[in-house]
Amino acid sequence: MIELNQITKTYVTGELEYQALKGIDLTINPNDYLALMGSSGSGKSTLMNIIGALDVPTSGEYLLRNKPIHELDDNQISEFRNQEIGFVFQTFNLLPKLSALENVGLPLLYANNIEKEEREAKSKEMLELVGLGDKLLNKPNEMSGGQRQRVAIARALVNSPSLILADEPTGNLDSKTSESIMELFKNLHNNGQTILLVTHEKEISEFAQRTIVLKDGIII
Amino acid sequence: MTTLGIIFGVGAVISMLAIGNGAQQQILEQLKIVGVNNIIVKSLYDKEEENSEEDENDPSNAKKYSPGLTLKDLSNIKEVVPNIELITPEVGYETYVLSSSIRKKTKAVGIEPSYFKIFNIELEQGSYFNQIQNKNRKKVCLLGSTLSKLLFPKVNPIGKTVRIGTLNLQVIGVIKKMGGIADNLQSMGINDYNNEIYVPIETLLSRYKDRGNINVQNNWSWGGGKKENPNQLDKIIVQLKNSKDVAPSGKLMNRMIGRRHNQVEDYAVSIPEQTLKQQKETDDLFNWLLGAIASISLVVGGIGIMNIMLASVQERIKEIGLRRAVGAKKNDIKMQFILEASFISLFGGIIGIILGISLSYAVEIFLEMPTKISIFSIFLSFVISVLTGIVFGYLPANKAAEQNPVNSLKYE
Repeated sequence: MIELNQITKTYVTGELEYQALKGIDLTINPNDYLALMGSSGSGKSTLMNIIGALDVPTSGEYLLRNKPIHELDDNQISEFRNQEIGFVFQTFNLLPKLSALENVGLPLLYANNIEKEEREAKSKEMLELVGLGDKLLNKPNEMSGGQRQRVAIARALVNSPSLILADEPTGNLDSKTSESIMELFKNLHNNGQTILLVTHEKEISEFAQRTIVLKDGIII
Repeated sequence: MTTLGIIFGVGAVISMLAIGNGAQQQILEQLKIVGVNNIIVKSLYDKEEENSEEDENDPSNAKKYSPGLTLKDLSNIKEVVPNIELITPEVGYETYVLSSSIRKKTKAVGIEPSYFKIFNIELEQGSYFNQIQNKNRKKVCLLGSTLSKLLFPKVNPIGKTVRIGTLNLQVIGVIKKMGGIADNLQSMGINDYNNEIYVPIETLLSRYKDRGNINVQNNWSWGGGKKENPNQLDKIIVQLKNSKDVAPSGKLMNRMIGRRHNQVEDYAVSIPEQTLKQQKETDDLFNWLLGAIASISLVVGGIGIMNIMLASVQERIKEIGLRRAVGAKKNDIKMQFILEASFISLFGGIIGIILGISLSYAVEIFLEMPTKISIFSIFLSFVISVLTGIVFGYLPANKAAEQNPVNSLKYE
């Protein structure tokens, strides 16, 4: 489904050049559950940003179902993120003034032609799926960390993306809550969702089917 | 705080237009009342009289003799000044008028029929008097609308008799009520048509106080120490055919009457239209000033909005990153911030509109200047405030849209 061919990324600051990725080849198949591991500075965040289309590679090919993503313009890339990728962040990144329902509905707001009623119905469905059917109107500050991350996962799922990109999703949670979140990912995977999990914790990576380790910009 | 500039800016726009419209309308109405192409020669006798009493026996202060403004002046103007369309003399007496049971203070004004044409005076009912009635010294009169209602509250005044002094006059017409007769117009020699009584001048001169006797050539010795106004006339009103003749004719008349009066300045020549136009220029200047204040305030307000929006972009970088991550296009972000800026600005604009309307009323009540708030000016203020938001919100919005999503998401 996703194919990366010889992806490199070079950062230039003044006269200094830093090559974060040095030729990455990676294939992600439908219903894969991958863990991407590596120490800090290994390039895993850069790779995740490129897969999530938040950043563009310096060279190489990025194909989604044989469609070259690296050739899209900014508007098309925004659409791609909206339709194909669901982000889950370490710090949840919920908008504090919006209710759980509104936070979950945010991606639908930027999708084409979705009426308010449909948006709310879908968001509600997703929140019920992650076990927060009773917190629809709560604001983020009225919820626990685990609940917030569930809202974020519901938001990632709401547009039925091809890939869920989870960047240290349990980094801010205690071990018991982490476990329940990982349980949720496992259920999603069992229901056919493709997931890429970025983590530096071995225990977390063990939930995945396959682990890729990144070191100094290459996969080892 | 941010919206304060917008509030004052929009407030100033509204009141500027209201005051401007009001002044414009008043001047148009007044121009209609004073008539175009008119020159008014006014007798200044009353002032002279007070001074001359003390100086009479002092030879060093011996005054040059002036016959005052007379019908001779009138016929002279008729002969000398070219392109006269209409001309009328005018005398006025403060007096009391009496209907069957009601007595009112009023001014009896003696005129020729051309007076009505010069000042575009329309009738509520009845008819004007004509030149034949004037020459025959017919005892007829026209009443001002307000005065007519005071004297004849219940009955139709036409055909009824009123009495001034010992003179009985038959009412033959009532003058249509006129608005916009402000104090400044009366100082320009315009009468308060609503409250006065209009009589053929020959009737008034010959039958009331008998001033007609002075018409005799050597009349100045007549009546000796009598303190009655020896001038035949209070005013001569001349209407010219062409507006370009007004200023030169005014000068000509000034010189001519000056010679006839032995250079005694017991008269004044004025051109009300010109005075009004000068007044309009002052009004325009005032309006420009308000306009300048409005634009400065709007710019200050706009910069305020820009600042708060820039701060807001900085505060919400993470939100911008998140929105971009879930699929917002650059334009979506830009629109969001421009809309927010417009809302802030519109909010200020609405308060400004309320302020502007109250300011206009305040100006009307306290400065007694006429104002007129138009729907257009309110609409314009809406547009201006939204535009200010868009213009000054654009830069911050652009900044927001151009944020790199990766960095935005990392921003703490």
